[in-house]
Amino acid sequence: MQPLRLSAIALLWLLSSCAWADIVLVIKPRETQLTLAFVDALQQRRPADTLLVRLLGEQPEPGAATLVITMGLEALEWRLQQASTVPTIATFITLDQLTPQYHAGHPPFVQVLLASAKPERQLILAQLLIPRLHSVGLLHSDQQQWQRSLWQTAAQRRKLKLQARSVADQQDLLRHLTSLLDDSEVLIGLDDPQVYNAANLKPLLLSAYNRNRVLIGPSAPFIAAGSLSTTYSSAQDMADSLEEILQDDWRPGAVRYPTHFSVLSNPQVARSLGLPPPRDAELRQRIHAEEQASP
Amino acid sequence: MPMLPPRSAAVLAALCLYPASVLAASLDPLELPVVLTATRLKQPPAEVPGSMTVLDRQLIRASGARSIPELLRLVPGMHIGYRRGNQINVNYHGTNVTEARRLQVLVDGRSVYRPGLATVDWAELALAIEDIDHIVVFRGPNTAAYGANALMGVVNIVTRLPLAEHGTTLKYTGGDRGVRDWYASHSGGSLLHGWRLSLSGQQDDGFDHDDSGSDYRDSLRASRFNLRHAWQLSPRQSLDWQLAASEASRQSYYEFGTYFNHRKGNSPLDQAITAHAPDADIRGRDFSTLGLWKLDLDAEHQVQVQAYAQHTERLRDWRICDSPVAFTPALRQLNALSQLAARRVRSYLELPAPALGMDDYIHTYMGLEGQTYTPRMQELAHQVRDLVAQHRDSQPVCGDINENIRENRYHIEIQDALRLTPQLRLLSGASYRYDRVSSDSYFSGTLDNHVSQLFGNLEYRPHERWLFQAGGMYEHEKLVGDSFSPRLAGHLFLAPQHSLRLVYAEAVRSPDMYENHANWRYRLRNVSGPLTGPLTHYAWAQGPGDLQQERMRSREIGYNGHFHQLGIRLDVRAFHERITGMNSQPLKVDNFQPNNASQIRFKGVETELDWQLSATDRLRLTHARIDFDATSKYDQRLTARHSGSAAWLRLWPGEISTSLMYYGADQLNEHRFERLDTRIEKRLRLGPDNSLALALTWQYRLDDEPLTWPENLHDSRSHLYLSAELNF
Repeated sequence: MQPLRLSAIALLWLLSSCAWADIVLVIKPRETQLTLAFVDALQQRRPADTLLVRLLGEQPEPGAATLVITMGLEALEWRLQQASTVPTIATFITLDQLTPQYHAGHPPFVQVLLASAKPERQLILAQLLIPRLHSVGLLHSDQQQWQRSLWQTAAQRRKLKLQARSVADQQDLLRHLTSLLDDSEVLIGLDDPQVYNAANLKPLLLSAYNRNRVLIGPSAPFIAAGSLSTTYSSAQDMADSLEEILQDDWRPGAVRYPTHFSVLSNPQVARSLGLPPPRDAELRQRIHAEEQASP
Repeated sequence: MPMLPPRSAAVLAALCLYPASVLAASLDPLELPVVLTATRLKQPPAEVPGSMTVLDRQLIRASGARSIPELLRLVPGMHIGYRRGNQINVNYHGTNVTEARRLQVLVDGRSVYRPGLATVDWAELALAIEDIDHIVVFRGPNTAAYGANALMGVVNIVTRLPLAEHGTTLKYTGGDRGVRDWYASHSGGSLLHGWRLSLSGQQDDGFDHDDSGSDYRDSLRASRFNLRHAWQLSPRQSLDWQLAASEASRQSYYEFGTYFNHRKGNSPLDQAITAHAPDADIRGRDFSTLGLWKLDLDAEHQVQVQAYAQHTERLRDWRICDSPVAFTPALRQLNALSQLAARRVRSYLELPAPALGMDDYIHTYMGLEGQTYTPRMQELAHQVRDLVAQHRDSQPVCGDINENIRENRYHIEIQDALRLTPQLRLLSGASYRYDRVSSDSYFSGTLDNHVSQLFGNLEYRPHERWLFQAGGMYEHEKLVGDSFSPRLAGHLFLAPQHSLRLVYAEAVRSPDMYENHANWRYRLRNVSGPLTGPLTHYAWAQGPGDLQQERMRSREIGYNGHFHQLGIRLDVRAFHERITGMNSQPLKVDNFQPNNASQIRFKGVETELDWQLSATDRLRLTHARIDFDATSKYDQRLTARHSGSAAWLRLWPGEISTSLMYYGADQLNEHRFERLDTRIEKRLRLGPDNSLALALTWQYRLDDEPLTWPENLHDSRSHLYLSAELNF
């Protein structure tokens, strides 16, 4: 890394951290409820800043902005095509969108704030919901093999046994799933559209529930569909987490999980599986306390 | 307003339940189907309007049981009686030791309760125990949901989804008492459509000897075929269809009710008839097909249609011999006028030194039963007496008879589950069933029945502490008429998973075709001996045709609780049940008098405790205490006052699992029953997806009693069998 370039970023960062108002460029791929809620939350947290919210289609350039916030992968990719080294925080990136190289190789002016649930958080949640939990099952596609180590580390920290199966071919999904359900007590979902998608979800859940195995995660939209529970970060959680990054020292190229999160459960699924009704707010607090206890 | 496409409707429904920010938590909102809709999810145990026992796969496997009746000993209050080694009766709360007419049994929703003879042939079920996922036993009347015949309870056997497994399984079980079972299955497909083909066979020798020490001829040999295909047509639609077939052969002795007891006499005729006793084995064949289509209209509304067809045949033909008198018009006419008069002529003629004249004797006995001995009967009785003397040294009449019976059932049902509001859920439906039975001997031809049903159950949850359910079924049967069975249940939740329940239910059982419409007689073929008239045996039984339904009123107070952190599930049921208008008569061809004259009352307490002590240990205890008061002596046989089971399941390191189970009943048909079963299994991993499981099951009787009947005896108290199962 060129020392000159790094010092330029540091200087910019220093400047932006100072008291005077920033110009923040927010690049969103399209207008959705989420982008509206997120921009709204950002504005509330940074009332003194000028937020320039631009659609990707407008081909926005950093220009005079002192900070760029991109939403989603397309916006990040657009940003990476530009020569500007204005500090950039890429939000709403999921792990499956990062290749291992990508994961390690962001330019120093970029930090990534993931939308994916933090593995350890998901495991704590599973432990809170299923007492005396011993082993958890992870089913992923070959492309997401690299994510396995993240879960392995988290499982070790939580003293859980991780059973993982990698699916090379969709035809083998059922075979791996059945063997996984035999060997583990809870199925943990992860961001992997090859496995966790609309077409697979129903037979996958029916198969798991048929064996009295619950699914944790992978993300909030799966809860309404029939997954038991997950941690996730709402637009407000994301804005709060972003705010913490901004307060922190700049960590070139870092990929971070949101520090703020919520819990969402499906009480009907819990009831049907004979589990006590999950209290989301309480679960969130307990996970938070666990995280604080073993940072 | 334009109609929304169904998928958007589902998403909208989901939107109503979850905050919008949640659904939008990814930038490109996933259009996920609502898989487990409120209407599709199974009812948790604490909300069931009654008592329910679930025998899960772990328990089924750990029991080592080779037949479903053996498994059902794990259900509190379920009493198992063996008529022979190959003929088993399962009765909830016991009662009659030879009949099991009051329990509905379903395999994946298909009733295997035979329409013609009101029984369940457990030995012939086209089902391998390895294919069972779990068995749900609803204890107590459930006519409101399952229709007539679900009088005492419902056993619903649920087979494994093809999704739940993958690959090939080969299993062989061998042991003493002639146990030779095999099972082979292959499952394939993908997540969206999975299938399983399984073939299996079962064989054993039944009991070893009878109470006189002679070999017992009661072996069973059965083979079966099952195919199931579960197909996810779209995220909201699924189709599940199955084919099943079985072929079984059950050994049986020569059975025929001759007019006279020729064992008592020693004339050449007596000797010839007594000497003739060829075996009369029973061959059975069952075929069935079932289709179930489910459609999620939206997250709150589901419709399903289920249809099945099945054919059952039991074939038994053998050659019988009887006195020529039994084929004479005089005896036939006398028997048609009064079965009692015909029986009394016989008992008079068998008396060594009668003190009375024949007419006085018959007149006296018929008077005791409220019947009149008419001059015509008197005339015929005299003719029979004269014929007996005439045929004393005659040759017997011999001929081929059969007890072949073929039954068909076609059933279609539509069911609609709808959540009207978050507090109100309605399940409703209608069904139509056609039953047909053909048997020359039992029905002198063919008989059919049409059954239409309308049913509904409304669930209202006004508050998190209260749940009320009201359900009912209206049925119309061509052969019996109309009936309505209501059920009311109220639950008070002490905590989210702890409820107290009060249930009141009324239920009915329709007389089966045989009880009500039998037209039973034996026609001979290939006749030899001195017979000139019609080739029909004198004995003839005819159903009254006007039998009423049996009626039950049941009251229950219960508790169901799940202590989640401790891993304890507890269910207690205290009940008071009364059946009136019961037909308890033994139905024999020479004594066929079904009626609605009997009554029975049960009260008692049943308890079930399932405790997952740790990840490796599970303890399960059941107990039933039943007090009963039956007007018919036939209903006082199979009810144990105390019965129960205890099981300890443990997983050891090195993929070894063990189980220890105790079963006990203080008296089943006057015999105590206590047995200890142990099983040890070791799984060897041969590769990433290959394994070999070796298991030894040892059953040991703790008492010296015969099983149900004095002639049901084994050489040893101990029974061992070993199985090897290869998965790849």
